Amino acid sequence: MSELGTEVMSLLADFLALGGALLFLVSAIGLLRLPDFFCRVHAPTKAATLGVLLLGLSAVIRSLSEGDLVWLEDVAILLFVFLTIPVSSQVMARAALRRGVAQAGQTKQAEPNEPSR
Amino acid sequence: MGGVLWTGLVLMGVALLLTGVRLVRGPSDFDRLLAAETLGLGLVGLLMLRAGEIDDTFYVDAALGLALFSFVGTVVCVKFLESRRGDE
Repeated sequence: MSELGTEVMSLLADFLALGGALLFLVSAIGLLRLPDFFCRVHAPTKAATLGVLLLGLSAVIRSLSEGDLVWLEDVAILLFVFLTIPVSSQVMARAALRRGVAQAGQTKQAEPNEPSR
Repeated sequence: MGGVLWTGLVLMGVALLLTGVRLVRGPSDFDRLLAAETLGLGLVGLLMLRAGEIDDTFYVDAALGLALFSFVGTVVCVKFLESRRGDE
């Protein structure tokens, strides 16, 4: 690959990493400032998933421009994260609903619609 | 390593610190669990970045292991918290 191409790839990887870090910052602010647990579970589920995607894409681009095969493992990690984050957040929210974790006053109060085991 | 990447890394550090605040403060155990999982996700991203930065595949393996254990640990902790009797 030409010198200029390597420069452009490196710059692209840096900006993707910056975007991922910004998304993580958004998710952390949401985690701090949203009123109750059911709102807070929403913030990292979306923002941090996209953030880790951008960080991983940055690593993939860097690995591709260096010409090694590490990007395959990066892609595997990203696939795994994308499969597991929705599952774990849904499981957490359902368990919190069954346990009766406090909900913010202005939300419509939700009840678990199944008998808890 | 340019200034853009450094800015990103500093922002990432701030984000992880704020998540750590929720981990310490969180009113319920589920808040702490959520913050811990977000911390794990951030560390996975940082490890992948680090592995691309220096030429060492060890960091990618560590990221894969952390992602696996983060998910399994979260599900196990949720099962425990859900079945536990007693006050909130």
